[in-house]
Amino acid sequence: MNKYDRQIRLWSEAGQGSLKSARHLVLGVTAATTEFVKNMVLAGIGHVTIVDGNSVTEADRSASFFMHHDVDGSNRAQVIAQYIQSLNDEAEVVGAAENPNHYIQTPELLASYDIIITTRLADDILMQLWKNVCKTSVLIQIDSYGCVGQVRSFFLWHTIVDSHPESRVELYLHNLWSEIESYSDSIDLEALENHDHEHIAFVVLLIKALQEWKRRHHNGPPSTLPEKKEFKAIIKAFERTYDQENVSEAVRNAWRVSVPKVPEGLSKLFEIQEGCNLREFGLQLTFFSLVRALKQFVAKYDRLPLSGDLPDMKSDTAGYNRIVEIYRTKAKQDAEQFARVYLNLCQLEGLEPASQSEIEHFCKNCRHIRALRGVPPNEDKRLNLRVHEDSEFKSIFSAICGANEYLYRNHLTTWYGDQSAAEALRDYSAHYADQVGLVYDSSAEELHSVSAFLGGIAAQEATKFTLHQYTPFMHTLVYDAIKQATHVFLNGEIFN
Amino acid sequence: MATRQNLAALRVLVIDVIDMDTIDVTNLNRQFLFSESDVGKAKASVAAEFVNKRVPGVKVVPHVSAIQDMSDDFYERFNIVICGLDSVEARRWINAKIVGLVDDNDPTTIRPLIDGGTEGLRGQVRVILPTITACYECSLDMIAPQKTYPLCTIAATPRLPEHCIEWALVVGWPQWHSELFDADRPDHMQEMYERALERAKEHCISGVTLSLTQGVVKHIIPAIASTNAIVASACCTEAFKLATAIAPPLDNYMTYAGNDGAHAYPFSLDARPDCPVCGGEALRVDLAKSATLSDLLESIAVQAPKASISAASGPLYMRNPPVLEKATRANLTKPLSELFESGSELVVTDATLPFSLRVTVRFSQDDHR
Repeated sequence: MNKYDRQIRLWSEAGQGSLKSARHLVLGVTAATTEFVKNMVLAGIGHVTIVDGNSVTEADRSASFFMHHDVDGSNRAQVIAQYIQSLNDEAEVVGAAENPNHYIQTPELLASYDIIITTRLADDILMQLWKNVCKTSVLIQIDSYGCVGQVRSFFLWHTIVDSHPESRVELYLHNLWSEIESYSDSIDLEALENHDHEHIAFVVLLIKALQEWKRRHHNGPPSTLPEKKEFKAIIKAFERTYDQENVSEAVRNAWRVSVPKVPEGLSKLFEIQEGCNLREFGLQLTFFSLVRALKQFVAKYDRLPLSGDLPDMKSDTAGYNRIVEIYRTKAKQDAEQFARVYLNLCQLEGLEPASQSEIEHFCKNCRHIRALRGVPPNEDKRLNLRVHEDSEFKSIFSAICGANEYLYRNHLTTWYGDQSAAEALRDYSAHYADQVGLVYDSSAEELHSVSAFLGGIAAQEATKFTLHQYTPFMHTLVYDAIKQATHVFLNGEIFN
Repeated sequence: MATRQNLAALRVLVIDVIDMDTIDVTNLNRQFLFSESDVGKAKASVAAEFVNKRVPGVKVVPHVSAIQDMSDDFYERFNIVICGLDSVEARRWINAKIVGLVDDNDPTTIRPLIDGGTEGLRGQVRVILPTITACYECSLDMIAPQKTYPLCTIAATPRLPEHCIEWALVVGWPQWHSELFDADRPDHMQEMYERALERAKEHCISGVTLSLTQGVVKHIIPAIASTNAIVASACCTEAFKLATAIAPPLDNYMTYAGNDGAHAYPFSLDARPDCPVCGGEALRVDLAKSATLSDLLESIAVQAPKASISAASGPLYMRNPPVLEKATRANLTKPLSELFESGSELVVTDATLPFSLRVTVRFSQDDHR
């Protein structure tokens, strides 16, 4: 069996392929960034470069499981890389004995990475890094201090094709097409024996109820509450035996006959790309050209393409198979029509089109696609201090940013064993919050378990960014290990 | 697995680890104390050896065994118990064991139980202070039931590939083999897949694959390194708090969800006074007067899936020994009013549970049936 079996069940072979071709850059070794790398390498990331200019110290060995006790004097990045490489030979793990600042100031060194991980940077340096990478990568910051920490993500746009919705079922009964209607018409409910009647799929019952509804009312599907009640009564009247399962299913699914709307976020995405040069979307060019094609599809057919997914329902095998086949055929036709619109668009705009499978995947998920528009780190920080946000988490956030600033300005990578640095930090942050004092306990600068938690969250986020599946948080997540709680200072826009 | 490494790095001195399993290749995507050359070896031994070598001053003692095989003396040796168990049954067992070891006159017998679990991008951590906070049994009804398919669907009207696999497992296998199905035997799994595929073809159903067959038959739960790191590390932070008293422990449940955004959310679960493990009161069940003993067994199936049940007057239904089963079987279809009076207290036992359950059954006035 494949060693990635337990995760391919979540994100599919295609997702695993995205991980395999991803490249991450980690600037600075801490227990938290090390935990991050471990998680990504176990998951089968293609490449990670770890950069750190310092040698292993006593502090590292105290906080990081991955620093062996007999490696004094060696470079941290290389020690970590060598050990983590041994966890998975399918990943490539490189340790670079360099000062992260050298990378931050050299755009050519940054260009080939999808995700860049930083830690303990002063704000202006973070901004400098952001300016150098925002067009090519996602920037993730991980800071772990004592019993608190944070994970922050910065990006211009992030797009999600498979957001893993609970269901992709869409019956499109408001707009019956000939195959489904004639299948339904071929069934004469009255003439059926009870046993067969109990095994008619609820989709057919809904279609028949809708036909009856249209005979009574010459307008659209039921929309007001009394109308919905009347519609459900029509369905209920099909019942022959007490609590008939397929009739109950039809009643539960009666809402599906209403006209499905284009989701609000999707309409906004249609507007946003309108009139734009698609190339302005940079890394998300393919996604937005697919969105543009989707808008054209909707303009032409007045609906979104069908996903073709159906739920299980009480039915005999042959009847269910027939309905599945009708929906799959319709979905396939929609996908072909969508591909035609899209390929036309690519030709017109001179774009390199996505692969056939990418087009189909987008089409199947089109109702549930999402896009996130991020904000730069400095704007993020200003907005984070809005008064209504949770004050305790705000204090922790401020204290962490202060600690980052202090260490960076004083060219310190740690204050482990440095009593004066610990005291200076304590004074600096005294006005923030009591429990933040735990941050500056000089004997517990980085608690391994707290760092492992933050490295775990950062790895989940990096995985979601890499897969374009599931939805990452926006933008600053603060963790308080005393409460075992996180708080997200949301900033940016989400379209879904 | 990450739990052990975190605890070691926090310098907890002695850690005993119990696990009866051997290392499978599918563990390697998240369990980093193991490498490919360890596949087939005992998890507990490999993990212990690794941490002992890596972290000087820490002693990890492996026990390759089932948790149920360890004695009370064994569990009494520890200050804290941490679980990363993979079944409800095992969690109920260890919970009842640790609660049962509490001596009301000796507070040192209150051993905190920390429980962690994950599924995909979600997970949860709870801290149980036996007899003080809610225990695992108190929240049994929060557990989502395992996905099952009605037998009539499987047998007569299959529609999904899962139905065909369940048919091969439940209906087919016992007909073809006298030997029990063993999910860990590749030849068994391959045959199960082929039979399910054959069944699917007969019914024109697509989608049966070896991977899906394994998933359905073994109830595989997706698991990834990052979620396990999140949950294991939170378990360790709690152990660290309890061991050092630097901060109060989690009160008493935290869920983590990473599918849509990222949220760690702590909340407090209440202990149930009628909890069969940590509460003093009997579980109350209300049933119609005409309900049968079978109906009663069904209504307590969450608590005791394989219940035997007795009244003050004697056994009502016993699963074992076979003679007694045969003698009490006729009671199953009898109305409860013929067996005992409304308000009677019954005792339920179940071979999978280390405790008995007290149930008070009341007959409701109106018969809804």
